[in-house]
Amino acid sequence: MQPILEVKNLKTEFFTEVGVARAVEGVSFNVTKGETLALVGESGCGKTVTALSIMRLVPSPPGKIVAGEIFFKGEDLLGLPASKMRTIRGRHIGMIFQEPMSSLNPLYTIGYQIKEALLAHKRAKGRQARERAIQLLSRVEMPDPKQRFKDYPHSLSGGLRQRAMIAQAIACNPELVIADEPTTALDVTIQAEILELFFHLKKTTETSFLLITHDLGVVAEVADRVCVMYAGRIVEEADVFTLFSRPRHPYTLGLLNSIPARRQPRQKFAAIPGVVPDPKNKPSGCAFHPRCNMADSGCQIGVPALIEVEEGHKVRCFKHKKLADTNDS
Amino acid sequence: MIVKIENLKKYFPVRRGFLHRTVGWIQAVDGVSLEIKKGSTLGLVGESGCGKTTLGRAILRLIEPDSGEIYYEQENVTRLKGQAIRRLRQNMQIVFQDPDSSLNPRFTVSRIVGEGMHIFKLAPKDEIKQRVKELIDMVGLPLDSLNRYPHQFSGGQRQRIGIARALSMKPSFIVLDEPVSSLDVSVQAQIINLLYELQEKICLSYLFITHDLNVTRQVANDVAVMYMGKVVEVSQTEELFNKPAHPYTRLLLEAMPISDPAKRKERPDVKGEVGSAFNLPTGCRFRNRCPLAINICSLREPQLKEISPGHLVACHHY
Amino acid sequence: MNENLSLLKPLSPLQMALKRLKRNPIAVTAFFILVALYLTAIFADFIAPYNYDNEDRLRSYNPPTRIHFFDEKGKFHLRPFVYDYGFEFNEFYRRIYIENKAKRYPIKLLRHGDHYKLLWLIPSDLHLFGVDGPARLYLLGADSRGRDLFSRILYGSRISLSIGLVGVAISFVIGTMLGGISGYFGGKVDNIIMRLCEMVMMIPGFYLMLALRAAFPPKLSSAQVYLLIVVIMSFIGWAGLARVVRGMSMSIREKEFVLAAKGLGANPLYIVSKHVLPNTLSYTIVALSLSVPGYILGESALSLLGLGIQDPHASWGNLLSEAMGIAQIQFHPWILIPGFFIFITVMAFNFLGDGLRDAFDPTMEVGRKL
Repeated sequence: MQPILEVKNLKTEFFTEVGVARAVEGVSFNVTKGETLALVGESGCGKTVTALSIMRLVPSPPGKIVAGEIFFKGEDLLGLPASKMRTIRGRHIGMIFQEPMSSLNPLYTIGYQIKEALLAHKRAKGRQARERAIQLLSRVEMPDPKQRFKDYPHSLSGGLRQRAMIAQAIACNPELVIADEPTTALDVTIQAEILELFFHLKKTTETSFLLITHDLGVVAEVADRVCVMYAGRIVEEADVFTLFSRPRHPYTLGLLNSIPARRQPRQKFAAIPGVVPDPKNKPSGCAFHPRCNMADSGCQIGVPALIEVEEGHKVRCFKHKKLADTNDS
Repeated sequence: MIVKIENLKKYFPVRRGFLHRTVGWIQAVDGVSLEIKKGSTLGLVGESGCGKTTLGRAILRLIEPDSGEIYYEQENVTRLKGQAIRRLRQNMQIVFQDPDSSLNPRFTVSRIVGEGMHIFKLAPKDEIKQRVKELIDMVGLPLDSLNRYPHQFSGGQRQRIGIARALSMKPSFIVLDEPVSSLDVSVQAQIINLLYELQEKICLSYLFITHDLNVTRQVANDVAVMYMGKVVEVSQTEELFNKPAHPYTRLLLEAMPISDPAKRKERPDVKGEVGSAFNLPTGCRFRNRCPLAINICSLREPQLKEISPGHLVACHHY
Repeated sequence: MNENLSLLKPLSPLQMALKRLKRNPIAVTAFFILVALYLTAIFADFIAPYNYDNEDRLRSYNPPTRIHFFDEKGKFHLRPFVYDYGFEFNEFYRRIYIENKAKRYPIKLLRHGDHYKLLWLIPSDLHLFGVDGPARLYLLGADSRGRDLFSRILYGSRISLSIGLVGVAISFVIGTMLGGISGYFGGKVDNIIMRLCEMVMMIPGFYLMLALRAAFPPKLSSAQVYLLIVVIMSFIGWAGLARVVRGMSMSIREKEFVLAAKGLGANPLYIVSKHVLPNTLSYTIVALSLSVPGYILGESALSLLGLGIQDPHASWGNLLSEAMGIAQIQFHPWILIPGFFIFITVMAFNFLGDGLRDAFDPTMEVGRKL
């Protein structure tokens, strides 16, 4: 099946006065039609920069995409002129941000902003746009959509605001929606509702989702496939069931063990020691080796390749066999 | 019993218009009674805006409660003033959620951690220096951190500095206000481990405020669930997770993200969001969202009652 | 943050801002110009060839003295020299100054001349340079009473440059204290202080200055006038600063580190002085460096109108007051030179202030720059 989005060997770097931060160091992945791919990692692992690179919204300077290709429906986005890229954004690729308050303009009603998105991409005209916007609001299960159409962002609660954001992102029926930490700022009950909405949208449309998150709980809820990122590289890629049951990278295993729900109550547990490395000064070899309890001298020298250990399950670790043996026994 | 609060209330005025007239009150904390046992952890769970942060600060009297009583080691500390309250603050400390805003960016680590000891002149300068070193070591920071500034640390390390500052006064009770919510999962685990170790080592008691039930289960001996300024359920932790009584607690438990994709399920259809604390419904505050609401819920506000030893619920169904 | 960071000497936010400032060539240039100006002001009596009141009425409006290296016969002299000037009247009875080439007067370094006290302490009569009488060295020409304009500009810079710093220092103390108290405590205190601010700000500054000056007796000594001007101007200047500091204090008050200090048992005064005010410094430093020119210009304006520093004492403003007639400027253009000094100083302060603002700008991401 032809993937809708194909990222090949993407490298994005930030040139600061004190050195080059290699935020994304050769990331490759595909998103197929109707699929939800989760990009998981802790802050500073390069997941957001990857998303911004796809949208070509990396702040420049200091950021720059230095290598790689991004094919969207067979077309290399990095080679497109800026005007063409603008029609791709919003029309073909929608985006949902973490903080809806800062991404909705406080001066306009949410209805107006959704209408704008429709009008800008010539998806509807005049009265029709209004009706379509109300339809969209009811599709994201906004209670009382006609009334909410006239509301300003500040008068909505966080959850409703996030729904308005989602309505705006899917207004033009984009083929791909990039959601950057869409539920992180929300309360648990609201988060559950928004995840439910995602699930619903996934089932009723053929839209693909690229979900960026640090929360493996969210991943477990909605993702089909997962890429775990660490220090600018994908360290493990698998479908969600495989990843949760048979992790083959020590970092993935550590992350899974850090989920509070998977731990024993009132007991200490094996946390990943140390801190995420500075992107300007990454460790040699495998970037995870200083925090890895399985690392040996080989890990400090060579960068492991991303190899397929079973069908659709790739891992970037010299010790994946050892990890497999100890875990499965 | 190290800390006990009785019927604590804190209302914030809502002011509107040109003359800032008070048009109503937000009942941030509305008659809360809790007990924290010595050497144990009470988890305080609730969604944003439920008043849990206000409660935590009111216990330390960083916010003055409107009414109610606070006892520390059997001593009523609600109306202490001046020197007495300053002495109390040595025993009760707080760790904040946001390590960005809770450390003064212009202070070095040694000044941040040593500040309390300097204010109280607890020891001569050399001794304070020595003690700061011990504290830094105790929370797992390298010794060369002492002369560095907060911005040179990661979120988890900054949280460690905040913990060291709280420990500097040798408190016996610490309010932990969402101490791990803004941290990455792997760092969360490290900080929870640290808090756990400290509790064992120096017999600390915690009030652990969080919105994350999973974290609560990990750290707390007992849990209190708050909804719109009221405690709706209190219980020993495992009992609460295994036999949740209040519909709101059940809603929270169901909303928790699953930890395994194999356990994916259709979610129950619970609608509605936390209402405005300004416009409270009559009777039970949860009734607008409650799937089990009946007639009486809109008439009378339910009181906490014991349904099994140590398990209290405020719901008309019990 | 990586572990290697620990090898570097940690920098406080202030030090980092200074580090960034050093990379801004315009601001650095402005800074050094200001340093040079202030140094000459401090050592004015040594650098100036004459005292500010050393006059020679026969040389009224003597043009700038020409400095020669070659004499009448075209012979080169290593030591530059000047000629004495004499004058004739033209058909409009205006003085025309002519060099009297009979005798050369070499410019001497470290010449003994007028008596003064170096740094207001050490009696001395040594001057950096000068010529022996009866010739006179007018580097920038003379004023109506034949006083050396260059010397008077140097003496004047003492008043004009210091008035800005002293004024700013006073309004800084008042402004940050009142602003900090107002913002931190809020409520009634805040209300009273802010209404006071508004009252001060409502009055047009220059008229207030004139009115207050008029309220005092016209015959005051220069020292008294100096003090008066400083007080008047800082009385006007503090209000704007206080309002901004109040706003910042209100937001800093909400920061959790303030609550933490409270939790440690700190008293309000400690919190305001140690936690709140230092965090407004990055703003106040910028605001102050940008408000120094206002003081300099204010003094100049008052002195220009004859309400400030009185003759024979010099300030840049009252030096300029001689240049108020078109005829004066037309025939003796050099008396405008004090204006050039004001211009340079004001520009330098503005550029330095802009540089400081960039250096303190939080969007520059303080932590990342290391």
